[in-house]
Parts: sequence; C-alpha cells; structure tokens
Amino acid sequence: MKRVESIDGVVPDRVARPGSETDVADIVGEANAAVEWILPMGGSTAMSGLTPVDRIPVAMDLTGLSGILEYQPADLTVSVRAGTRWVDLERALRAEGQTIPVDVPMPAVATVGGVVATGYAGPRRLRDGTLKDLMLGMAYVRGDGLAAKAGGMVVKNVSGFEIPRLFHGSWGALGVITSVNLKVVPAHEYEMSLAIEPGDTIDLAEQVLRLTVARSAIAAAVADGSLTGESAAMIRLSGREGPTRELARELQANVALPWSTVIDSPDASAAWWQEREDTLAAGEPDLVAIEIGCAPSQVQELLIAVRQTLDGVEPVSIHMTPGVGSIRIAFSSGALSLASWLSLWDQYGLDRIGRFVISQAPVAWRADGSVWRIAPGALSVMQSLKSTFDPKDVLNRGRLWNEPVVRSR
Amino acid sequence: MATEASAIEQTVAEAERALRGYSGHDVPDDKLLRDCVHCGMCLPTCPTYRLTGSEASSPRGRLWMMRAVADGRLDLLDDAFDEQMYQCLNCRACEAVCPSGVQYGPLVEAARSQLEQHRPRPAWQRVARRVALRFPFDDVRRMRAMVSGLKLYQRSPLPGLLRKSGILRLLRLETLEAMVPPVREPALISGEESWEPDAATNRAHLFNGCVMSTVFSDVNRAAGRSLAHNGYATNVPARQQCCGALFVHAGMMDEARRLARINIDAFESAGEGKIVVTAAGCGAALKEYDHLLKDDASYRIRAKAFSDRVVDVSELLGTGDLVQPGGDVSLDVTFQEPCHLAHAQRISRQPRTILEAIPGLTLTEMRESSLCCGSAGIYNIIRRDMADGLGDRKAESVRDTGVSTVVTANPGCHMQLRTSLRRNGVEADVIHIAQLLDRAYGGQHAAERGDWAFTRGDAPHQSTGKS
Amino acid sequence: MDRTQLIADLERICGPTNVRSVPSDLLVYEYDGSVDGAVDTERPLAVVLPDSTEQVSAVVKLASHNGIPVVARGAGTGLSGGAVARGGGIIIALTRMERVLRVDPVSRTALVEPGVINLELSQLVAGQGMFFAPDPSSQKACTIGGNVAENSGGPHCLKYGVTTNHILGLEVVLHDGDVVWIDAHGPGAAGLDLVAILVGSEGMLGIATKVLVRLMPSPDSVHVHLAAFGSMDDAAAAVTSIIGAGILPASLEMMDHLTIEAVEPAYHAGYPMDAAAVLLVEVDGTRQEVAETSDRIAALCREVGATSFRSAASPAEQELLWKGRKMALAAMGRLAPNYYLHDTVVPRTKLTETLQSVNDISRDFGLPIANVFHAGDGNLHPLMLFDRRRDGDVEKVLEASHALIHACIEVGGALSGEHGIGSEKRGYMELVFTRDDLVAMAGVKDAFDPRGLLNPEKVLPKGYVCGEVRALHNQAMAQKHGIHPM
Repeated sequence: MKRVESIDGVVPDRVARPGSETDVADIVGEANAAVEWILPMGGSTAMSGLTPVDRIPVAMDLTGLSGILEYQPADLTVSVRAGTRWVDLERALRAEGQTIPVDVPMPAVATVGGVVATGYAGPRRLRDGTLKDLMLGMAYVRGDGLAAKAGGMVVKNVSGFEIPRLFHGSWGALGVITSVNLKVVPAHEYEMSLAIEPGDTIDLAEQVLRLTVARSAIAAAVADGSLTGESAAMIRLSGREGPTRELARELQANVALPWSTVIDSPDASAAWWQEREDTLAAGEPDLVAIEIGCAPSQVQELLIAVRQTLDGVEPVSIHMTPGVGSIRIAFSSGALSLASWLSLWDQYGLDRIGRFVISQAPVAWRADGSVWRIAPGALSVMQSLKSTFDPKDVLNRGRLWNEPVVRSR
Repeated sequence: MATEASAIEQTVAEAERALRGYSGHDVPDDKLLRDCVHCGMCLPTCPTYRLTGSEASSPRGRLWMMRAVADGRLDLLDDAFDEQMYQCLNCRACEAVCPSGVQYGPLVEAARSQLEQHRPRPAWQRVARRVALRFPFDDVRRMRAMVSGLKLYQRSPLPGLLRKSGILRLLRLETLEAMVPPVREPALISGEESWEPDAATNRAHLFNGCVMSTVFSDVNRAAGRSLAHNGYATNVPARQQCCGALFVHAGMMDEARRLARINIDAFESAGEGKIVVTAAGCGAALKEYDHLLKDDASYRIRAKAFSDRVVDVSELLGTGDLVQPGGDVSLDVTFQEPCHLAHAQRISRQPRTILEAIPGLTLTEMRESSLCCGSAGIYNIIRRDMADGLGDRKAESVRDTGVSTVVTANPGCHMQLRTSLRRNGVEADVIHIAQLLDRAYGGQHAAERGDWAFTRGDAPHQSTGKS
Repeated sequence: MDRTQLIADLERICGPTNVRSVPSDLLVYEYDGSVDGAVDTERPLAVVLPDSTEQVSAVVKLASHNGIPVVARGAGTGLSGGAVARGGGIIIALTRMERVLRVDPVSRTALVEPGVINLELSQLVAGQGMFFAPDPSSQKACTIGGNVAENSGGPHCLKYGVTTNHILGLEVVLHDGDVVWIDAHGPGAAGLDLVAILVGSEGMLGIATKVLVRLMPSPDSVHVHLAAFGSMDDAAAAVTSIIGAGILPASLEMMDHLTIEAVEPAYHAGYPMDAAAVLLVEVDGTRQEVAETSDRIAALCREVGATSFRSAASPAEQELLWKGRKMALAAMGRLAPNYYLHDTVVPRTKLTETLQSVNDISRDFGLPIANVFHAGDGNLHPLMLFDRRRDGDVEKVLEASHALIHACIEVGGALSGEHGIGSEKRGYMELVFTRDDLVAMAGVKDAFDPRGLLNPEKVLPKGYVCGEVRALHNQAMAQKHGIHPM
C-alpha cells in the first residue's frame, strides 16, 4: 500500500484505507452523516486536471481493494475489484491469451477503478473503442452510503438502467466503484508500427486522417510535434501475424507517404506506444495540457483555428489522433493563463467546432477559472443525477463543477 | 310515466349504439385475422404508412381494426374503419414481407365487402361508384366504346381547349385526362387475332383485359409477338371479359364473381395452355379466382384449375429459356415494380432477367422500386391526395436515377407514372416491359419480315403485316 | 384538465391531422410487437405525430403542466411492451421524424431523426462504404429512436457491440419539455456521460429527437460458413473452441433441429435436414485475415466433429444462408400457430447446461421449444410453440416461461439481452437485483423524471417509483445504521 502524501499540495486530514466493500460503504456512510467530503483515489495518476481545493477532509485510498473476483476465459468476462492495478489485471488476462484493448498510462500504478472513473481513452479507441464499451456490470457505493450493483456478468444485458457505463468518466462524483465486470477480447498475436517522416503539422494530420478512413484495419495512428511547425506520425497495426505484415507491406507499397522506420517487433512496438502514454500522463511540473476534441472531419479546421487562437504563444507541442478527432496541446503555464485561454476560446467561437478538458496544469493555473466547460442544459441534468447519487455532495466536492451541485427540488 | 318512457328511449339508444359486427357473406376469416402477431415488419413496406407515419394507415393497424370489429370492440360502421379499409391501396407489399404469412389482400377485400353490404352510403356516392366501375368494366365492349371516344378526343383540339378552360378541373377529370397515354392502335378484339411461330412448341392464351385491350392494345400485340418469338402459338380467346379486380378491390364481390365465371368458361373452351396476362393487376386477380369462388360448388375446382394456368408475361418469358433478342435497344431504364406483380404475385426477378437480356439496355435500380406509385386500380382517381403524395415520391426516385425511360408492367402504374412524372417535371417515358422486349425482337418490323405469322380473324397463318 | 381542451391544445401544437383522439384511432396504438398475453394492451389518451423537436417539446410541456404521462413510440416493434401507454397517457409517435440530417463520411457519423428506419440508414450510407452496426431482427422496420431506447442488439453485436457503442450524441426532450444536447464521452468531453444512461432507458428518462450515430466501415471481405453437427453439445463445443482460439467472428449463430425443420423446407437455405444443430458463422475484415480465419474456423469445427462444413462464396449464396436464420421466426408458423420468443443471456460456458434446462422445460410442460440464437454472445432465444386457441396453452406458456427465466438466472444469466424489460419482465427484476440495486436505479429515474410522467410502469417493479423510493431508501439507510423505523 502506497502512502498518500498530498494531492495538489494539500495533505488530506485523514486517509481511509478500506479493505472490503463493506468498509467502503461504512466510510462513505459516515462521511455522509458528518457531511464531510471524501476524495476517492486509485493510483493518483490523473489528479492534475481537476479544480484545486484548500482542504481534503478524507482521502479514500482504494488500492487495498484489489484482486480478481472471477475470471472465465471461455466467457470472455472478468470481474475485478476496483483497486486492482491495471498491470495485474492485464497480466492475468495475457496468461490466457486475452486482453482489454485500451491504452492505460502508468499501468503499474493506475487502478482499474481509476481507469473507469477517469474515462481515459488513448489512440487505440480508433479501432477498438473505449473501456465504456466493455463495461458489463459494477458494484459501487453511492454518496449516501447505499451499496448497490448494476448490470451483470454476461456480454449483453438490457436489464434496467446502464449505471455502469454512466460511471465511466464520472470522476468519482456519483459513487465509489468497488468492483467492475468487464468484457475482454482475444489478445492480438502480433503487432508492429510504421513511422512517417516529419512534415507540416496540419498537412500531416490530414494525411493521417485520410489514411485511417481508407484503411479501417489500422489499430491506431498518431501525429506528434509542434502546433506551428512539423509533426511526425506513427501507425500501429495489430492482429494475426500474416495479415498484419501483409497490411504493412500493402500500405508502404500503395500509400504515397514518406514512410520511415518500421518497428517490426511486438514488444518494441507496444513499448513505443506505452512510453508515449506514460510520458504524456506524467507531464512536466510547469506544463499545461489541454485535450481538445472535434469531429474528425473538422480536425484541419480546428487546427487552423487553434493556431490562430494561440498566435504568439510558443512553443506549443501537439499530440494528435486525427482519426478520433483528438488534439492535445501543451504549453508552458506562464505563456497563457486559464482565464485567457477561456476568453480566447470564446472570442474565436471554438464551441462551434470543438470542446476541451484540461488534462493537467499546475495548481495555481487551474485556480484561475472553471476547468470544466459543460453546456448549461446538460449540466443541470448532471447536477440532478449527482444529487440523487450523492445528495450531500460528499464525493469529490468542488473538484468537478465550480458551483454548488445540490439542486433544490 | 315520463321516467319509464325515457328509460325505454335510453335502452333503444343503447341498442343503437351497440357495436355492429360482421354478418352476411364475405366475413373476414377469423383464423386468417389471427395469423397477425402484430410484429410490425409490414410497416415500412406500406405506402400509406410511409406517407402518414400513422399506425392506423398501416397493414398491422388495419388488421387490428378488423379484429376489433370481429371481437365486438369496434363498430363495423365506424367512420375510421371505413376510411382505413378504403385508404389502403391493396398493393399487398405487406404480404410479401409478412413473417407470419398473413393473407392481407383477401382480408381487406372481405372487410370492404362487409362495408358494401352494411354501410349506408349517400345516393350520389352509390351512383358515382356504379358509373365509375360498373359502367366501363362490366362489359368490355363499353370500355371499347369509351376508348374510341377518347381516341377521337385526343386527336381533336379539345384537350388543349378544355385544359385551358378549367372545365376538366371543375369536373375533377383533370387527373384522369392527363393519365391516359395517346391511344395509337385500334382495340384488340378478343377472338380476332393470333400469333403463330413457324415451329410452335407451346400454346398460350392471352388475357386481353379492358384497359389493356383498348388503351394499351399495342402492348398486348407486342406481348403476342414476343410470345410467338419464344415458340408460343398465341391466341386471344373470345368471350373473355374484364378480370373483375376492381370490383374485388372495392368489395363488390357479386360483380366480380359474375365476371370470373364468364372468364373461366371462356378459357376452358379455348383449350390447354398457359393464360398469359400483360396487366399485373389482372394477373393477381385471376390467380385468386379460386379464393373468390371458394364457396361456389360448381366453379370451385374449375377456378383452381384456371388460376393454376395464369402467368404474367414476364413470369413466363423471364427465365433462362428466353430467346436471346438480337436487336439493340440503347436505353437507360429503371424498373417500377407493379405491386400486383412484386407483392401479390411475388414476381420480381423475372422482369429483370428480361431487361438484362436486352442488348444495349442499361438498368439502373431506383430506390423503393417496389413501393406503390399510388395507382392501385382506381385509387388515384378516388383518393387523389394520397395518390399524388406517392406519385411525387416515385417521381423523385426516378429523377434521381437520371434514366430516360421507366419500365413497368401494369396499366394503372403506367398511367399514374405518366401523370406523376409530368406533374413533377421529370422527363422520362413510360413503357411496358412487353413493348421493350418486342422492340428488341424487331417488333412489328420482324413481323413484316415474316419471322412469324400474324393472323387475324378466321384466316390462320396469313400474314397481314405486308399485304 | 378537460379532455376536449387537451386535444385542442395538442392540435394547436402538431396540427389537427397529426393528433388522434377518437376511440377507433386510439385502438391501433394499444399494442406493440409483444406477444399477446405476455404484455397487456392499453389504449392511450391521445396520440400525436409531431414532426419537429419543437413540437415534441411543446407536447411534453403541455403534458407535464397537466400531470399527464407521455410515452415515446417508434415503429412499435418492441417485444417487451415498452411502447404501450400504461395508465393511458399521450403517445408521442416519432414516425414522421424520419429525416437523415447529415452524413459525415470522414468522421463516419450520421445525424438522424429518431424515426429513421435502422436498415434504411445502412442502405443509405452503403454507397459510402459504411453501415450502422446494430442489426436487430426487426431492422427492416424498427427505428433508430427505438434502438436507442432499447439498446438493441442483433447477430453482429458479437463483434461490433450493441447500440450504446454506436451512439455519440443525442438531442433529448426532458420531462419538463426542456431540450438539451448531450454528448457521449469522447475527446474533450467534460462531465457525466449522459448518453450512456439514456441509451437503453426504455423511454423513461427522456425522448431522443436527434441521434448522432457512429457508422462502421464496410469490411473489405465477408465470408459466411455453415457447420452442421450431430448434437447440440457438439455445436456448443464448436462455439467454445472458436472463441477459445481467440477468434471473434462478426456473428456466430446457432439453430437447433426443430428450427432447421421449419426453415429448410420454406427457404431452401441449404441446411442439412438431418443435423441436430447448425452454426452460421460470419467472418469479416481484410481479405487475407478473413481467408486465414475461415480456414481456422473450418478446422476447429471439424475437430469437434462437424458433420459438414460449407462456405458461401457469392453474396447471393451468403444471403441465402442468412435468410434461413433471419426468417427463422417467420418459418415457425409452419410448426405452430403461435410462438413466444424469449430473450435471455447466459455466460457462454453455461450454454450446454442451459440448453439442457430448456429441453427439460420443454418436456415437463409438453411444449415444443425451438432454439435459434446468438451463440457467440450466449444470448438465447428459446421459442415456445403453441396454439392460443387451445384451452390452457397460454397459461402453460407463461408458466414455462417463468421456469425458463429462473433457470437462466440461476446460472448467472440476465433477464434480457436485447428485448428490454418493459412491462413484460418488470415483475422479474427482483430476481436479479436487490432492493438497494433497484433503489439506486429508481434514483436515476427520479433525477430525470421526478414526477414519473415518462413511460410509467416500466422496467422498475411496483413499489420503486417516485415517493415510494424515498421511503424505501430511508428505511434501508435506517436499517443500515441500526435505526429502526417506527
């Protein structure tokens, strides 16, 4: 069990370490009774994008709630406790030739519950979708201490509301996840990656997009570099060895792109992609990273608009998955404040084509405005849900929405 | 006393309000009604449902209403019931997709018969129906007389004058007037013409029809020539009458049965061989004579034998055995599937086989090729709003293909397509599939070359092409 | 509110021709596709056929103001009574909202109105090399809005996932008539994934008036194989061994002997009449991948004793093989006048055991049961054959159904894989979920629709609506903390 020191520079008043579902329910129930708020946490790998707070009454470290509850390889399903390290789950699955095909930064630290709660999805969502698509069931404790489950252990289920998928990306605001049932898939036998020489960022984004639209077998394709300058692309292929190699040959032969190195080893290829994830997740102390999303067909338009918006802010690094409309920009926190970013975004009317979340930023930077941008209509529904699941707002209070979330009825 | 009187009045009023169910002849078969499991698979195929989005205007809704009348939950004489039974085009697209095999056509026809028997109609409506249906279709000779008049009318300066004057609109005859194509050839009189190949391998008897033998006599002749080209010695048996389909659709069963018996007699005396039909609507009706006469002991079995002999011209010829046409017909065409061909007779592949066999022809499929064009017998005359909606939708589908010609196989569709295309400014011709095939075989010219013998009246094997 | 006034107001909103209010017109909205007897019919108060979001919103506002329930309805092909207006509210039929508003071939998305027919969307975008993956058996008739409400599945869900995996955004009319746009989680999305909870909520949380769907790229190559087996166990073993080998076919369907007996004479799909079971396997992907996978599947089937293995080369042949499967329900009419189609999912490893239970139930109740189902997903569709005109048959079917559902739940199965709970299986929810689970679900309903006006009396069992939930919850919490209620 790791030691929880501080989150955003704030040392929690108390750290709770539940060892069972009942413990979680008790801790939450007590907090609810005392109207004291709790910060649920897994591996703490994705904490640097939320609204900062002055005080954390209780931090709940869920890493003690670990282990696989049930795994039937022939059913392609697994039930796992929320605090299980991602790497441990993946190891168990790999032993049976199976996997969960999503990108997880720092899998040795990140927990299953955390990956669900943050709703993170990396480049592989292009072909294989996200963890949300694989969620079958869940056990959780609501903010008022009610322990419940939803969904089941079968791969298709329409019995009642889809609460498990609602929890994907809910940032612990509705309840504390204690276990998750997931659909798993056969692991790919082989993978390799193809690099493309650097070129103008906007042109390259367009080329990569066109490539992935034309070849749906491509597992992932990213282009990384600088917003105003050049970027280089990497293409990930995976599947059975023969067809994968064949696709690689076919791409190099038929697609007129400046192909460069080939990473023709499954381990080396996987390592390249994992390293990219880890590096992006770790960030740098002074760096601001913003994830912007849009319809893939609007990537080019968005890039041009962002370039205009950030005119004069340099350098801005960029990491893109054009095929899913994802653009992550990063710049030094001193170059532009949150308030300025928000006002520029509005000034250029970027809501028209895109939306964004702050992935990571120094605490002081984040304190300068609302890090969440949600349309008022949808926000009001979210708040209504929040007040049902967590009527006294004891879960992650003030971290998600910069206003009181308990709506009076 | 006053209270007693009012109590009686109340009882009488209640009795009057009691729901009237089916009675008399042609009661919708309860077993057939219950075949429907209301799964809804028929909905998107139904033209009236597609236009309105309304469940009542769907086959499932109509069947449910019929069942409700049978169950005493809906009054037979309810206005909504009458409206729906007649709003239906009886195109039977629903039957073709029904997983439970519901026989929708016979059910809706029985329901209409019930309405005809029990529903009081205003005098003008009864007269109008009699005039619209009985007068021209009751006896094929009357139709012939009407069409001769029409031909005269078309050749006169009258159409232009009348159109300008607005009289046609006033008399609600505008649609009718616009639908009818120019009548080119004299009527084909049953018993007077036949087509003999040099070496006949089979015999065929052409079902002449009312509109087909008059307005579309050129189509029937084209069919005769094409049949001869494929080895069928083809005649047009005398004494045959209208198929009666329009009466069946309108629920006027007695009239329909009278015509059916006449036709059975006529084709029995014509001898062995297929009964070939050029109008899909007639074909569907003829194939159901067995159902129509199921309660007629003296005709039941003969009706079945008759129905078994009936084939559509494309059904007979559109097989692997089709004699390959030699002539080049350079046309871009699309195929509008008549409901009574595609749905009622389930003939969909064979016409395409014919079209694909014609050298030079390019077939571009339109979307919803089997959705009703809005013709449906006389529906386009009596339900103009709905028919126009469907016609417009069809015209747009044709426009999107960009073809110059629409091929069909039924006179009602032929006329409805003409009107709809014209109204929507789509420049495309309408042609019957038999005419196209005939053209590919060299048509009239081939006859003139003496490729086969064309005979008229009692002078067999005497070519009349070139005298 | 006076009914006459209500109708007048509805007519003002939607136009007089788009409001149905006389009894005979309402009669045809008392049912959906559900089996008679399993779901009660009920006549709505009125039916409206709006043609815009504004009209839907205005109708809901009016209803909400007057405390009248509303029920959204698509094509009414649902099999669990979801579109039947329990308590007689206003049915909002979305069949006239059937426009495809935008197709974006680069993003592979389409923005559609809820009344667009599932298969027609796929047909529309086929020319651009795309398709809409959820393919329920009713796909020729059912609407996208209905798919969203029911989270529909279909044979190809094995590889492509159910409807929720293919919905990227929704325009929703809320219980009070407010209109909101909600996004599914994607790059840059903040807040809760409301699409996740809306999809599959059976019209109880809101009414979708626009749907942004994900379209899938049409595969380069598709192969369809038919493997025949001498026993159901062998066929089930083949399923296990295909999945176990790490192969994920596009679909993996099983049909038993009774089904083959009904299908083959009707459609001549080429199913061997002497087989105890057949598997229909579709593989798609790149040309080489498909060729290789097909060979492996053939080998695996032979290994477990397939009596024959046939591959359909041409699209026409493939279509014929599929026709047998898709028309299987239709063909059942040849065996019996009526059928009751079930929908349950069990873990794949419990397939053999469950099929045995189905057999036992068939024998015990003297009811023929045909099995035609999504074997790859463990999604069973036992089909009970009966004749409703025979006295006692309907009761027998309902009792056998009860036994069947219990048997499936016992092995860890779900109440429904793709048909939904609706009013049909409301009463069974407590078999699978605890009171607390249901209280939490009811809380979701409460958050979206505090007065319970959207599609009442569905999904949640009696006692889990509105005020009752809070009382139940307080009771539960009191027990938990040792406080005994008075």
